[in-house]
Amino acid sequence: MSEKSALVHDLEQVVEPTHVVWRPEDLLVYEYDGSIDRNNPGAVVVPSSVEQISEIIKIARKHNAPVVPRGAGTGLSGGAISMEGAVVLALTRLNKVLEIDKENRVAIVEPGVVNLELGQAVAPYGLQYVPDPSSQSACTIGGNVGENAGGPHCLAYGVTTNHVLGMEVVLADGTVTWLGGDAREVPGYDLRGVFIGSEGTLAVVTKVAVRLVPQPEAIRTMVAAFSSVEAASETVADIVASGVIPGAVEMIDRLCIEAVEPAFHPGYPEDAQAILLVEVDGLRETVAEQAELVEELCRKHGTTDWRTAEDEEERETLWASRKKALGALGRLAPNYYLIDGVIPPTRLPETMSKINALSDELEIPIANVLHAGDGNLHPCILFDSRQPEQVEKALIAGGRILEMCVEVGGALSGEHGIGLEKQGYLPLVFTDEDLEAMARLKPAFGAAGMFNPGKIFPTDEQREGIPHAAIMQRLTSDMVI
Amino acid sequence: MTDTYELDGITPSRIERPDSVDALSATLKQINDGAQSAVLWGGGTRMHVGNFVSKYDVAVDMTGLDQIVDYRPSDLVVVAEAGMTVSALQAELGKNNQRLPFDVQSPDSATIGGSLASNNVGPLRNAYGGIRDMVIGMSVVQADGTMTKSGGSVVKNVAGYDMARLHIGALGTLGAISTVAFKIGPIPQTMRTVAAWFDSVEAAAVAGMRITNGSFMPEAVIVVAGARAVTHAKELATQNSGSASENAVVLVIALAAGPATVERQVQDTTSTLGAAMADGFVVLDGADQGTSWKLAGQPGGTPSLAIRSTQKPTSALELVSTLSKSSISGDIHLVGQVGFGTVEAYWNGETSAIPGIIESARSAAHNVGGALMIERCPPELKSDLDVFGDLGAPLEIMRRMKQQYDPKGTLSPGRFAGRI
Repeated sequence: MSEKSALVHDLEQVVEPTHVVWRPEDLLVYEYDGSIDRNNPGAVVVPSSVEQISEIIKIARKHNAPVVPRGAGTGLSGGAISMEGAVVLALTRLNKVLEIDKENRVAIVEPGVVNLELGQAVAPYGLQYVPDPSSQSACTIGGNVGENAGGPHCLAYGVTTNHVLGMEVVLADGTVTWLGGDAREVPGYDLRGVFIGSEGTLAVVTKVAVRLVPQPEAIRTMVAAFSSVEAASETVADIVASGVIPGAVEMIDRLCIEAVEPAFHPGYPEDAQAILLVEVDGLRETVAEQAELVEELCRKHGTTDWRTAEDEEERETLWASRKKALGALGRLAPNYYLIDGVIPPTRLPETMSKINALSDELEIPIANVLHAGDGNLHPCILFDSRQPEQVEKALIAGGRILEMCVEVGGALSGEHGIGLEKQGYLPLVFTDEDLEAMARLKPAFGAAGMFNPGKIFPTDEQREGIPHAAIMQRLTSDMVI
Repeated sequence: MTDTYELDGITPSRIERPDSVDALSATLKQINDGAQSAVLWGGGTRMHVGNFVSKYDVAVDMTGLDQIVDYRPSDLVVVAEAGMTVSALQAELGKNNQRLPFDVQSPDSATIGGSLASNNVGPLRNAYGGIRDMVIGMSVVQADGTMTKSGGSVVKNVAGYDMARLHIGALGTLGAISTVAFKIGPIPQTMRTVAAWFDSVEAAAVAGMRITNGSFMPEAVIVVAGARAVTHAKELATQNSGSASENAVVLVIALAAGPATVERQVQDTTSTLGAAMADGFVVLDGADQGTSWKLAGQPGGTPSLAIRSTQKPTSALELVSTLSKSSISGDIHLVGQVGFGTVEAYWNGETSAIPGIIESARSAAHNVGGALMIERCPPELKSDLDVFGDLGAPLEIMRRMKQQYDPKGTLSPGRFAGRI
């Protein structure tokens, strides 16, 4: 039987003891997030107000305990996993939409508001919040800010940073302040901009002012099947190059089709090797103009099956097949390791071929879902985490894919962040000087050593050794899955 | 003065014009090591923005860095050096029927780096956001000469902190922007301008809001008041065999998309204008559109005072109304980007009247929750005021930023908020 630490005792003075988790068996629940990694937190506290958060941070500081803010834990790069015994600050009770200002198209929300619920709350006003990560039925706005989250509809409309006007944060000394505000810009250094996507390492978000946009007058969702991934990829490259920027251009490959067809029955042709899901929105005339061009390009590249969603129900089925594809992968393997890499869209055909070749070479299946229009790949490496050699193979494959992205001028992450997963790979893109400049943001925010330690920046071991060695060690040391 | 690199009455003792990023790095290192201070110059079109520089030894002219580093039209990405002018970049992109969807004042002189550093943005921000929303990667030479980069050259990238944001609007006080990667877009197939005139600023602003909150997002929407607006309204009215009052206020709307879409946008816009009781409107095509958009910029000559205030759109509407009516409205040119929430105002007048005008404008902005920045004022007034206004608690973080990135105060010391 373990005993309460002095830290836990102090935390219970601020938050009801039922909302402080400290027994090892209870902490196991917070060992994971959506990534394949895991580690035990020192304690978990679930506050209900900004005042409590400010007090918690002061207490943690007194005890030299770092703090990890956590939303829904859907992040896929290990951002919400506690390292170095950090206290997890779970923000799920701060879940209110505080204000919807229809005229100015702004909403003020608490960080624990679920992305989809924000969408539902503003829909009656004829408005929408654009960033729509595939995990939107669970992920929170606070988490979206932390990761600068994207989603299928970011192709035309931008990612979280383009839709968040400002946020109230609690700094490392407990001070509560706004970065940005409820207007489109504020004078001074753009602290809001540099904060978004900082993966919980600089401060804790307690309110977010989001920008809303009108719901489009018309939407058309179209599906095109192709007999090869390359043909689908060439089509995407042509759509992007044409200058028409659809709301979304998504792709799934054969393995994904095998998983989603029995799960959602979207009715994809049996022989399809790749499916493109393209959505255009706006005025009726815009939709007609863009849809015509998209269809022309799909036909030019030999689409084997072309259809347009007839009604909202069919549209939802088609989107479920894309957004819930990851869950359906459970039909194919016990685990998947999703890689978030980005490449220039013109390099899609060759990169997709290389990923297929890698899958053959390592004899490990890789299912591909892509935000194809912006070159954001999500290869899902299928494996069984009970088999250490498969875990290692998955990690090796992931590393190889990231290297491929960098080789063609791409990026290590499009929307999931670096977290624990990719810190070892950052030196592929950034020099020591680049990373040093980034690291100075922490002292500038007064946050050195205080928030989400052990994330983003590579350790010396990772720089010198195998980038995924630390994850491998954590995953295989006490395998209980 | 661009030729002498004089700033607020100070002339530097030396001028450097590096022609490569390496040379820029060496230059800054030398200045930093020698405990001197440098002011970075682009085209010199917005050097009036910012507080008084407290120490200015060397002018570093960035216009030698004027090359396109990488341009991949099919990926909608361009990487260019910071000293390239906005016009030169747009001309290159135009060859492929592409553009960077942002409009700056004086694009023939304004450089990319200077436009970013001084947050030089025009009305197109209504649809496309500020220039900061188009930056996908940036290289920066730090005050001590260290070369750093962040982001990359793909349109989606969250690897590492988004450091570029820090340098946009920073007036070159945290580092020298050396190259920038932008997400670019196609030049729209069809472009139209609808210019309308009203007999009150409120009516024009309300119509502008209604159009912005309508069925689609226009590229740009501005409300313009003042003598130039009256003159322009009269010209437009003459073309239309109508008339405009002595208090006329102009509303200008930019529409751009495919031909069928624009036709519909014109219909929706003009029907809103009719319902909003516009005194008249014209739909402009081709080169005729340019005249109305000239109103967006500062008046000819150098105004004595220029302010920019940003707030929620409804508050911008109130502010436009207050400024146009107050006793300070005399010789004013007022531009409200009502959808975005920005209000810009320019005055010409006696220096002695300026402090009073500043006080009234600040109080009007404060009353509607706006954040007002003085973009231009007579240098002799700058010693007594912080042109950024009171930034509150975040100012402390900004001070620490400066401490981290330019500890010796090499880059335009004193010029930023709180005289950082």
